[in-house]
Amino acid sequence: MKKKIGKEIISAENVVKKFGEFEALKGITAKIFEKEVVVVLGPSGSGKSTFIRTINRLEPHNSGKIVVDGVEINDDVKNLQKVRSNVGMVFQQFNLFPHLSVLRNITLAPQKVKGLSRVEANDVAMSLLERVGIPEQAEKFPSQLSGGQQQRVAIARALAMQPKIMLFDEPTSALDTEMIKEVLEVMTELAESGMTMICVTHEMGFARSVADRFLFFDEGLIVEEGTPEHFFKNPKEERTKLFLSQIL
Amino acid sequence: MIFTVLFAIYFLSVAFQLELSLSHFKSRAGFGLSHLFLIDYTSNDSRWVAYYAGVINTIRVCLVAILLTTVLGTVMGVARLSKNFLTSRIAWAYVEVLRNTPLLIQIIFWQIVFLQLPHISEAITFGNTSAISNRGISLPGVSDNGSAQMWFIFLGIMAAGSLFLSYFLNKREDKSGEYLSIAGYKLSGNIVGIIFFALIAVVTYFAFGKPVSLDIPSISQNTKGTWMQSGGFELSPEFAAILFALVIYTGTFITEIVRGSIQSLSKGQTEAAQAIGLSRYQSMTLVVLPQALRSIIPPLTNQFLNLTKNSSLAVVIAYPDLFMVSRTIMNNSGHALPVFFLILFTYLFLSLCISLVMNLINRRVTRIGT
Repeated sequence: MKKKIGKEIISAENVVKKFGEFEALKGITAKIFEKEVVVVLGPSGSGKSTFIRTINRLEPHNSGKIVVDGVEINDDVKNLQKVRSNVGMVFQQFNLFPHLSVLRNITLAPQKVKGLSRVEANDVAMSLLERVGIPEQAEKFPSQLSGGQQQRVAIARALAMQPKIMLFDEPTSALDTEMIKEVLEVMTELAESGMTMICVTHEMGFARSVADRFLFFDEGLIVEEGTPEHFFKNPKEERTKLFLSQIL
Repeated sequence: MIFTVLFAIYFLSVAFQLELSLSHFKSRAGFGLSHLFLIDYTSNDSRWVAYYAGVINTIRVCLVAILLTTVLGTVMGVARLSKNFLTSRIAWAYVEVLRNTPLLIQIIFWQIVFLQLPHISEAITFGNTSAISNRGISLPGVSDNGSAQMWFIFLGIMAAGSLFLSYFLNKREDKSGEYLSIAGYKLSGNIVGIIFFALIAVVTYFAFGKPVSLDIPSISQNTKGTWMQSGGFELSPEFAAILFALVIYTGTFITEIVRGSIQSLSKGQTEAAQAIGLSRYQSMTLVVLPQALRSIIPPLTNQFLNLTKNSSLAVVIAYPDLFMVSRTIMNNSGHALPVFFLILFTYLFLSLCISLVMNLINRRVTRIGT
């Protein structure tokens, strides 16, 4: 099933992020390629969420350089909007807009940012809802859906902007066990369709079958990176071994 | 025991002897009023007419103040959370200074400010388009050529019609994807509604025989050398002072309500809005404020009610509102108690009307998405 990996799409060079005195990222250097699925692992507090949040500048980095699809991320608002419509993000807590119906949650950005007409946006939204398997929920409000359904709507909402890259920040951590499966199925389908994905997740089964590459974070640094085989069969670093022994 | 019973009997007998009739309101008022709006009144009219003029003045200042203070409070509430240091500090200073000083003093302060404007002979006129002096602020307005009232009512009906048309077209586009187009250009429901309304307004303007005309204030001196000011839309120093004070004072509380409501939303909402590419302004108006509205409305209603009741302080600068007019009637007639009850019930009625409207809005806002 190995697909062809394209050219470099995200490059991070020596990225540092501080929260006050605390250094959450201590100089991250990484490259992500088109159509690649990268899974970010690490103990909590290791900076993995912070890292993917710097990619669309939900957390502005303090120093270093991040280039996404040829656009450097800095304070320039024009650049930022361009990057954000190219990068979709799915959150742990779904963050759907509770005052809008499922359909309007998905059509909001295409209509307001891309200037699509209502009908065009509705078409896009309905086809995405079909893709994530819940077209019948279009008129409901987020609070009327189960957690798994809400997360699938959130994925559809991110996809509606036709992003080149999708970021997943622990998308299944807030879900019940039986709902994790339905979300992972959607994510697997997305990975197989050739989407560039960066996932922070603890779902090892999913990670093993879908990931092209792993990044292992600890204390704000990338400690080890490599293919799934390398990772699960013979990890080099002690910290990686310790982490894997705890999680598997 | 006997004493208590005797006292109760005495108390009841006094209570039943109380004169609570308002029949004296039919007699001649005998005093003049400076601010008349939508009502003709002279000192020869009955006290009822004077009372109505007062009620109208109260409603007028409250309605305008409620609208303006909501806007001011919302803008300041958002500014309070701004990342820009200067903006948030200005909003903070505004709140802390103005909510912590008595409203009464603020009303007097604004009255003094408006009376410090230049004498009418040196009025600021902006090239003869308006007149700002210590007699008040006159702005260009419209004047009635006889049929204005009919025309405004007609326009009101047509505005409702246009809204319905827009709504219908939007709904149709939503359902079936059909839309109107002219020469390949797509016309959305909103645009059709606006064009329809503008067309109707222009056509009927001529059909009604030009019901309104532009009225520019003018200043002149008569033969005795007295300065005269006429025309335009006039804002007297008293009206401006009570309006400013109410808007600015109540605005501080609304600022804090808006700020608190926005802060109570989870940060994830803003992040999600930004992550899908919405600008800051869009995420504020499309995502944050509509949700904050739920927790804004109930305390906002309180502030509207406070504002309405606080408007009775206008008496200190002699703005003839409900309270001041009724006080004058009370003094003239000597029937204090019935007038007092009338004031009480009038404010109660106004407050209940505001509550009713706000509760309807509240119901609509909370219904969505639950």
